[in-house]
Amino acid sequence: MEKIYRSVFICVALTVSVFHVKAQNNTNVTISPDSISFDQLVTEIERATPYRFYFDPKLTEKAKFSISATDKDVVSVLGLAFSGTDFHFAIDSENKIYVTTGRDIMTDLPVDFFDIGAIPTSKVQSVAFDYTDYEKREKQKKLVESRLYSIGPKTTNMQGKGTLAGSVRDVTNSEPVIGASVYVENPLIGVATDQFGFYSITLPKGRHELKIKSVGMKSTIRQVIVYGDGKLEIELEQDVTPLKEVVIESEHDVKVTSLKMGVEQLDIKTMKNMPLALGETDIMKVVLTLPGVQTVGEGTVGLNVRGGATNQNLILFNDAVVYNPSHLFGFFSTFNPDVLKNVELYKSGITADYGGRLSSVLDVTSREGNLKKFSGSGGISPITGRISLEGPIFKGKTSFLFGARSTYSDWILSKLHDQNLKKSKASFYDLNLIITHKFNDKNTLYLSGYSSQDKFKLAGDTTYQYSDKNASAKWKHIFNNRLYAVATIGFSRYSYAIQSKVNPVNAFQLDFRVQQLNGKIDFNYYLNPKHTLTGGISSVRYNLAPGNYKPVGDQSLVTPDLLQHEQGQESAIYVGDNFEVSPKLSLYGGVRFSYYQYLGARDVYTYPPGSAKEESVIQDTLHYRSGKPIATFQGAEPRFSVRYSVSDNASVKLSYNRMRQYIQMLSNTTAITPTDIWKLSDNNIRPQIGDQYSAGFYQTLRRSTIDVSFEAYYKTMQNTPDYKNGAVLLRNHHIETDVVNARGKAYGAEFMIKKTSGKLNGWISYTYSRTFLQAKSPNESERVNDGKWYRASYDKPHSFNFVGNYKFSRRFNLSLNTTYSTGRPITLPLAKYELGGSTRLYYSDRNQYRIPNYFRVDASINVEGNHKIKKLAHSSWSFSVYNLTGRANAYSVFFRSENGQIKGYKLSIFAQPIPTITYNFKF
Amino acid sequence: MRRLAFSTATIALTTLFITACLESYTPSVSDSDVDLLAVDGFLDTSDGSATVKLTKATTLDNGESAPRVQSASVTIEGDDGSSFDLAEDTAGIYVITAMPVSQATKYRIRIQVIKNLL
Repeated sequence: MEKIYRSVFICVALTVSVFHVKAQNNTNVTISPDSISFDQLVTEIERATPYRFYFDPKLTEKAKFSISATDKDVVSVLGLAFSGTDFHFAIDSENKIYVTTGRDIMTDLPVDFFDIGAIPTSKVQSVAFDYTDYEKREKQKKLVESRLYSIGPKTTNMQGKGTLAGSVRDVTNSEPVIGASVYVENPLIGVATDQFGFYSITLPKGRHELKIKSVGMKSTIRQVIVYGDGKLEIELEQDVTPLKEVVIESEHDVKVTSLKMGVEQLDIKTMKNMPLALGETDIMKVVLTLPGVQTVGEGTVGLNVRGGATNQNLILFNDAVVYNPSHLFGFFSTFNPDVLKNVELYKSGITADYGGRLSSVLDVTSREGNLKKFSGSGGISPITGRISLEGPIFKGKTSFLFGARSTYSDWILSKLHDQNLKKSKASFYDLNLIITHKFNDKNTLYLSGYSSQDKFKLAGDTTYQYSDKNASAKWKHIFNNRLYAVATIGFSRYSYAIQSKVNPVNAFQLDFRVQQLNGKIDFNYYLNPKHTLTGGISSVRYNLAPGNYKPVGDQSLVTPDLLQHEQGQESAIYVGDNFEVSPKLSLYGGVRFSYYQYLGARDVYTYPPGSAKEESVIQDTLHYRSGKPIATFQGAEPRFSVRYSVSDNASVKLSYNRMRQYIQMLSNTTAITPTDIWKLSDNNIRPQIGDQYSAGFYQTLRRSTIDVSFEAYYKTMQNTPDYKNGAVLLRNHHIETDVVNARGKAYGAEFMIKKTSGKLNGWISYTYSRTFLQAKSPNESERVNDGKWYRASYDKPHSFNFVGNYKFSRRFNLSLNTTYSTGRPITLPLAKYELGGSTRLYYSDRNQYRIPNYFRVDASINVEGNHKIKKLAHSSWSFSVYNLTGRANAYSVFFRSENGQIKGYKLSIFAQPIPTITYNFKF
Repeated sequence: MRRLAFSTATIALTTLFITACLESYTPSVSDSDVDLLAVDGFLDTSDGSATVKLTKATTLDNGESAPRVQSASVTIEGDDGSSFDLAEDTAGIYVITAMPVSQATKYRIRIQVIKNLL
């Protein structure tokens, strides 16, 4: 039926016509019987008048009308007949009558179709047009696409160039569209919108067809005539289950033409199509399917990007640093999928505006609240519930977006019969609030707040609690078409507490906290069509409370132990230039200069130079007053990238970047307890420095529907911390005595084929990567494996991922996710021997062996509700199975002594298929 | 419906806690890694007595005590050219008494074992 409407609509719409019912001869008709079938009615009218009917017989065959008319005109007869029924009719200039149900069709083009003020030559007599929303939007879209926009004051001098700027927004809620391409094809000039949806493009004066394309949005075009500098706001429509599709394929794909390399951008729509582990879209799990990203185990938080340690990733949520991105042992990520918009992962080619971590930047941005109307969405799964609400506070000016998520696992656990499970607790919640206020065209304020808490207790023993809080405020000011600035302040705090009260005599609580306050100002200047300059300054103040161990209750005999607080200040200044040498060649060069001080008040230990740092050789304890610098480090961090287009569909990219990291996480455990500690660089532990060289080849095939990419990298790391045998990290007052200074090297190649559109979409990726560390020292205790290169604990050479979606129809889609990787390295006890009458263990070299390889398949089916436009809530169901094959993948391997034997055990967390049903809704 | 929802929830969450599974795990370790000789020795400089106990390292799952290494030849050599043989006292324990120990001399131990006994 849809098809008939469509063809009728198009056929009619193309006939530019004018209505003249009155001009017809013999338009009057007499109908005598009281009850008449549709067919009889048609026959009567067609016999008496020149009108001819067009209709779908399936809809009309059973219709009966009771009318009586004598010599009345067709319009009134039909009006009379159809009144009170679902039928509508429309008459065009060629005496064709279209009968439809449910809604009217247009028989001529809208008045303003060509924007020349065409005036209909006669008043339309049929009933008023009744478009559906979709048709209205379509009409609007056609209107703007065909209209010619004049940019700048009209002039006859068409020499030189003009800069066009504005923002690209989503038409339904005015949200900015990030990373949309805005370009003209002849000559090829293109830019991408930034995080605010802002673009600035400089074009030769004259007429251009500006194309706008973005993932998940319908492409559009604007006809512009550039006389000078000016503004053009662009609205894009979401490409969600439309009734008909308008696809403008671009010949130039973003990945091929963009200068960025080693950057993966995922929007929330792609992520929502992935199979869900526990009924929720989890961006951390999606990121793990990308080439070059690995994790040491299931249910752990850490990402290892291109041979980097887990603490070398800068995870930002609306510009605030996230220290722990996981909930419930890492089974959920802290990012509520309903408030997310976009995730960008930089594996290489990191621009100078980012700094502070060695291996990657994971930039997560939330949506902005809907500026036009109130709406909400949510989801219910067996383990979690979530809801988000959004809407305008002052229409068109201020919007809010609130999201909340929680588990009801505590309640479920309490209902269970198993005593151990009954005493267990596991819960989390998180809250998001995002407020955007647009003062005027030039000033916008973004506020974002996040708070989360996790609490768990296994079999009534120790309680673990942790909480992540962050907030940021961002003010964007546009000076003019070419220059804008963003000032940001942010605050992040991550803390955890471990408490045990089982035995009142040694009941204790251990608290840990890391917090930072940061401020920055970034400038973006579109100097001319060839150069875009960026620059800025930033500063971060760190404050760590590395441990406070205290007794709990009156009977506790635990001795309080408070570790000294740590302070540090990291400041940076940077500049960068994006230089478009020619359409084929573009360059980015930038440099960041960072300056770091480890600050008092603190007592610090000194060790004799050249000797191993041992507690027994502490030479002196120096006291520094509050704010006094204890150690200072500084250095330049150059960043370069080059893109050369081999053809319209292929390009080669090279990049180099140096990063410095002044805060590191120390962790020597794979336990599922959040007991990792963060440590600032100090007089004994030097900051980490990383250099990465990478090269890539990118090609799009089959009209940009398939992206193929190949990237290779080589990376070196200095001052990477590793640990002495038997290192103790918690409550250690001189942690430098348990840490060794290692250097690292990593290399690898990543291959990915991605199909972005069509019924079948998804990607296949394969990564080969190696990471080695070396701890050389004249002192035996500070060497690992006798100073030879050894595998890092996250060295996993082979990794394969397949993510596929198949859309059976608009309402059903099936997705499959397969992942395979080499098991991570492990140090094994190899043998037992006796010494001095007791049995001892003989260990292998560090990380000499590997745990078994990892393999998992997940599948899910998503069923969308019907697509009626007017209904209370749109809903969808998702059925998923995590670990379909039920393979018992090793989470950890450990050994324990039982009756004189040392027994090895392999712990698997998800050793069976886990089915989940989730209900999602949107209103 | 409500009851159904609850039972699904229960099943899913219990699976989360119960699917965790612990299996015994024996890593494939090469035999050469376990083929080790443990030397536990002591030289008393006051009376010149020395005891050296030779045992074999065993695999982790071995519940027995470590097997002694018998019929080895154990010699203490000084850097002044002196050399003292230790005699096997009880199985795998090699001793010497009244060995002239000089404070100025560095000593090392040389052990030779019969191959098929290791």
